[in-house]
Amino acid sequence: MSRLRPYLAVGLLAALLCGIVACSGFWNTAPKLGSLVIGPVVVTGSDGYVLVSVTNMPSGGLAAIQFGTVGDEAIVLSGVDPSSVVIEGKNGFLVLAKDFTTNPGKGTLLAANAATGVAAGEVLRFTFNVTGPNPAFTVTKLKVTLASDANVIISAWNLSTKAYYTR
Amino acid sequence: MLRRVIASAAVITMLASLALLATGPLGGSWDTEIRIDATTPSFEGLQSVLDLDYSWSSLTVTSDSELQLFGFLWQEFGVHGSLGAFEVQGNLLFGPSTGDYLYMQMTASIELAGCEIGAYFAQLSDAVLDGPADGFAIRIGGSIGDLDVVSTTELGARVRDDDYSGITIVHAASGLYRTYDTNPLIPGKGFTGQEITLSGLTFGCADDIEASVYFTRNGFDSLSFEATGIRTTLPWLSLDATLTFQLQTKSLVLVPHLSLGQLACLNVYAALVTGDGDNAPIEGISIYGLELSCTLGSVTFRDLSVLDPSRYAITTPAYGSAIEGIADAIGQGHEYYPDYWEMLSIDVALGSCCGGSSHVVIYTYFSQGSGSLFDCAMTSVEASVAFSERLEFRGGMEFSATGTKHLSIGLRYAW
Repeated sequence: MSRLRPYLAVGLLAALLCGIVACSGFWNTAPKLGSLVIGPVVVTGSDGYVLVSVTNMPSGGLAAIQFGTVGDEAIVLSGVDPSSVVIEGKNGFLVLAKDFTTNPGKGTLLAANAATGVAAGEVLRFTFNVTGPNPAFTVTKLKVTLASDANVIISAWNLSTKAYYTR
Repeated sequence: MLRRVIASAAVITMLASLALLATGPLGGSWDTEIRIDATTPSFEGLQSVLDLDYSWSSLTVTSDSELQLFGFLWQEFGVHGSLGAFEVQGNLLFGPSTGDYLYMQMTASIELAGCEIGAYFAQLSDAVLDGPADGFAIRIGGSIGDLDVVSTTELGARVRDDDYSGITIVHAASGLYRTYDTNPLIPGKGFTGQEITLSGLTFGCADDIEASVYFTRNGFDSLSFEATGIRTTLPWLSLDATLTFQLQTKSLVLVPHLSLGQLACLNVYAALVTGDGDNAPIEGISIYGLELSCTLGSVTFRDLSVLDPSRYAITTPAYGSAIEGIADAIGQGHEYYPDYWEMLSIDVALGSCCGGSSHVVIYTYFSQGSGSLFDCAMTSVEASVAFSERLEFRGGMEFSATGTKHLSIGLRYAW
């Protein structure tokens, strides 16, 4: 039986190669775009938080993110005390600048990662005091700019608010 | 009267359930922990995991329920065991807090004439970003002498191996996740990839030499040769080499490794310093960390010092409390402390009266410029006490010079 094993293995490999040739060209695998994932607002008592994550980020991963500018903010908040907003960088991200009080209910920030790019994982955590019954945290995609670890702007990406993502 | 009947029925049902759990084929465990933010103080977190295993013939059916403070996070059903000559495994994952079906995986494998043949099927629902998707893969592995041959035919799915980590499904609100072997890539089924890997050769000069060829539906994708642990004339220096051919490119990457060995109780973390880019010349040696550890009886003492905190950090106890490159930790999803450059830990194994084992672990972390005594930034104490082989209690406290930050209590019961 042991003498037959090499022949069996070679035969199976040959069969698989034939299968490849036979099946080639059936389906296209669509390239996955990078996604910025905005988690739902999680409320515990009078406090709330939102996690911002990324997945499938190209070119070495996300290295910098900008949520609009003052006067053209990308983040819109409701049911939240703007002065209580605290932003924590995750996975090496550092918040360089932020403003949530000039235009109440709107926010902007700039964060970057000096250590490495993040291809998939959490990048920011917003915590705040909740003032209303249904606090909301929304992001306008057109006002968000993403840059990769390869020093290029990431132009093609999706904004997701799904409750689950893969990495 | 009605209350007595209900109470009696409840007690009888509970006792009968416990008797069934203790003697029947139903096994499992219940592990729960409560975390309190001591600064506010407020209820910070709750985690409760109930595992149930039911053995029937050579199959075991499992149920895994995880509850967090914000809701019922995961409900997973599983099955594993033998079905005739086949080894089978299945997983079915739901997200009860959002009322979603999330993922399903089925695998079956059989050993035939020295070859192991495995079939993998998985489906991802549209409740998950990148879903819906489904697909399957067939993996055949065998050995010819010292040579290991593995062939993986991908029909819409990829399977975890040394170079591929499978699929991780993440809950966006909490960052908590589950990982599985089979990653479905597209809706529908069809040929998407073929990989053939040969490994196990050493040629007397390396730990392992591996050759791998990968085809996609568009044809040839890549051919790579990877040699790990190539020995040099210098006993402290080894090399990893990867030669990759793609359709219009060829690349050779050499990664030197430094091995200084381990002294009795001192481990020196060091790396070779190279210039930018692949195959850059070696410019020096960087010692980026030191570890001192010793065990005296039932007490283990460890001291970790990070000498280059801009590029290295100490991982959290859940990830082994080790010195790791920050980029590597982020890439592999390991949690680390960005602000602490030194850790002292004392692990005491305590004797137990009733069959289980008990532990007390104290971690103290130091940062720069904390302003507290000796720059001590944070200390955490974790204790677990076993009252029997089945019942264990845990407690934890995290504090700094300014006061207690977090408290936790938990228990685990197994049957």
